[in-house]
Amino acid sequence: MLEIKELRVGVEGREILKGINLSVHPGEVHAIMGPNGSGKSTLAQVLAGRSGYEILGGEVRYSGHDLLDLEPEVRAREGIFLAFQYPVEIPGVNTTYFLRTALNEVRAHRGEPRLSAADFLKLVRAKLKLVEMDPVFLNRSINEGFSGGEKKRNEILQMAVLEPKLALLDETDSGLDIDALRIVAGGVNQLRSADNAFVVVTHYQRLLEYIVPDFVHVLYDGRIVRSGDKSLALELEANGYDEIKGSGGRTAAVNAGAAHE
Amino acid sequence: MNESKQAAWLEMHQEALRTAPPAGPDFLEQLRAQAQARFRERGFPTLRQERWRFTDVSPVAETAWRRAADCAERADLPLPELSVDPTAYRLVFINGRFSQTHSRLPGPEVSFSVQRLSMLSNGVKELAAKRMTETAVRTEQPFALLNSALADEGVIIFIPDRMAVLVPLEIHHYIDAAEAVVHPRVVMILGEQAEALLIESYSGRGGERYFANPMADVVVGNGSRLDHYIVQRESAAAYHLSSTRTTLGREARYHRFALDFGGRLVRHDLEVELEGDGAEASLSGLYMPAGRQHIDHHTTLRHLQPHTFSRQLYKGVLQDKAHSVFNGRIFVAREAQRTDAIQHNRNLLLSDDAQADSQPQLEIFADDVRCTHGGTIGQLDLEGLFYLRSRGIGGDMARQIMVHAFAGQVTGGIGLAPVRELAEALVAERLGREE
Repeated sequence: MLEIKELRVGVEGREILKGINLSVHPGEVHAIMGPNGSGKSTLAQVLAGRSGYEILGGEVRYSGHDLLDLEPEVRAREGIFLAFQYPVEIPGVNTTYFLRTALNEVRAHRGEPRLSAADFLKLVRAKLKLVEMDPVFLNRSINEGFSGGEKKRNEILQMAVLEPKLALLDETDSGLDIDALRIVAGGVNQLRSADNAFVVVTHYQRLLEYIVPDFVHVLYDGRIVRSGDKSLALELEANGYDEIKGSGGRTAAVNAGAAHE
Repeated sequence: MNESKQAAWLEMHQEALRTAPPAGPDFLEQLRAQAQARFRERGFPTLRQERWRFTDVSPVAETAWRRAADCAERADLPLPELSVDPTAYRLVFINGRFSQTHSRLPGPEVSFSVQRLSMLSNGVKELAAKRMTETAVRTEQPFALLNSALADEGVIIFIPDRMAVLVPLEIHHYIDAAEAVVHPRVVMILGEQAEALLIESYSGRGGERYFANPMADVVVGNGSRLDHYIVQRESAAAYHLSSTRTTLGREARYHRFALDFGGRLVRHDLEVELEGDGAEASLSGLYMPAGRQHIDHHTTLRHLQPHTFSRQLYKGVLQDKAHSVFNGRIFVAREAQRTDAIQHNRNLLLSDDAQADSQPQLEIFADDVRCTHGGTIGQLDLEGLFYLRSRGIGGDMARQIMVHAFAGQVTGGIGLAPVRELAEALVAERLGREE
């Protein structure tokens, strides 16, 4: 489904990703862990198509496409979804209108008919239950005045409505209390299937207690330095990233103390 | 510039008015003379004057405009849909002349007055004379003086005490004559505890070059309320230089929305006098110039009594090489304690070549007041755009959604549904043209 080969990415002349290799297949959940500044979020952003990144080398294949050639909206229509670390507030744009417009764009791309307002409402009400969200949120502007937890739940709601094939969760656990974390993770777990895949970017092991990954990768200084199963996350939890940093050869200068953001 | 040459057309028009058969009320001649004298002292404004430094009206001064009255009467003209609110009472003027065919006047059973300046009844005539003369003596707005100096037709509306007129009153000016000038005048007087809705609408045949010089004179009496809408859809080559003077009594409320989509060069001078304790003015504007359109709002709020309240929200969406100007002057007199005045001007530039100039001007002589202003000039939020696109919404549509949301803060506040719907349609039309 997703094949990343030797991907190198820079920002403002500085190389952030220094040769990433990763394969994701349908039905899999991959966790990408690492200390702050290791490039985890950059990877998620680049896959979703945010501008401002310079592709220095390598390639990304996704469902037969050269992913990096596609506009962000085309990636979304092809089934890629990024749950933002910092969901954007857009005053004046009604959440229902936004969700319906997005869904109909995705459906049109798949050759499916547009959903009527009534059918859409039926669908979205069912999805709201998944993330235990109050329907009043639908009548508000996108994320405007939402609490941190509400914003993250809104991300999962959008994911549930759009039903992506490949979901990228960028630090979805950051800023969540344990109840919100449980709700968000519960939503994700209900969406898991044999046909879709998840890439979960996180700093902490905490989220992975709820969303159990098939693979765990440790990203450090722009490279995946270790891969393993879920036990790797537990190991990191116990030992921290110091050992990784040590073995990565570039120690504390980069990231001293950053693990406690 | 040779000044006598510059105002040659003005002399000519004054002469024409002097020799024309006396059509208007008896006070008109004196009013014109007073205004002419004051206008002549000042002349046309130039870029050297502080309040005109962004807006060059020399093409207006230098064009030999034809009097609209000299243009052929076109009462039978197949007009585009002019009406803003189909349920409204409507006075339609074509090339400055009243068109019975296109108008819809209230019947004789109503006890408020909607009259033309050229045929005033006693009673209303005295009210109009008093207000118009006062304005001609007091106003510092050059184009208000020009309007008075050359006034020959207008609409005088009087709403008596304790009367609420819930049907909107719509005045439409349509121009299809090249190089013509009109000086539309409306005088709107509300007694005490009265209510009304006024729509001024301006349009013209596409591409025609003409000069519209409207003036609105508004009095909102104690405890009364007026909702005032201006829908400006002039031709893309037109000059539209308007003036408004509004006086508010005790606890009077004045809500105004100005929508600007047309015109080559547009200037609104708005002066609001909050003369009564507790008077309230809420002023909004949305302008969306494209091409080389130039749209300028100059507002002056005079808080003259305690507990007066004003809100201003002017928003602009600029494309291509458009230019907008906003100057908001808030004057708070020493006795106007507890004044509460907030002013915002926000501009969205959709092109690198567009330019917005925004300046507040606070003159505060009372010490217990709340006065704030905020001005922003920016581009579309890239984070927001990416967010929408990352959900499958195409780039063009995402931009349109963002602009609609920006404009929606003004259009969403429009109380009268037909005006609000028209505003939203005009926003969509203007954005559609972008691609």
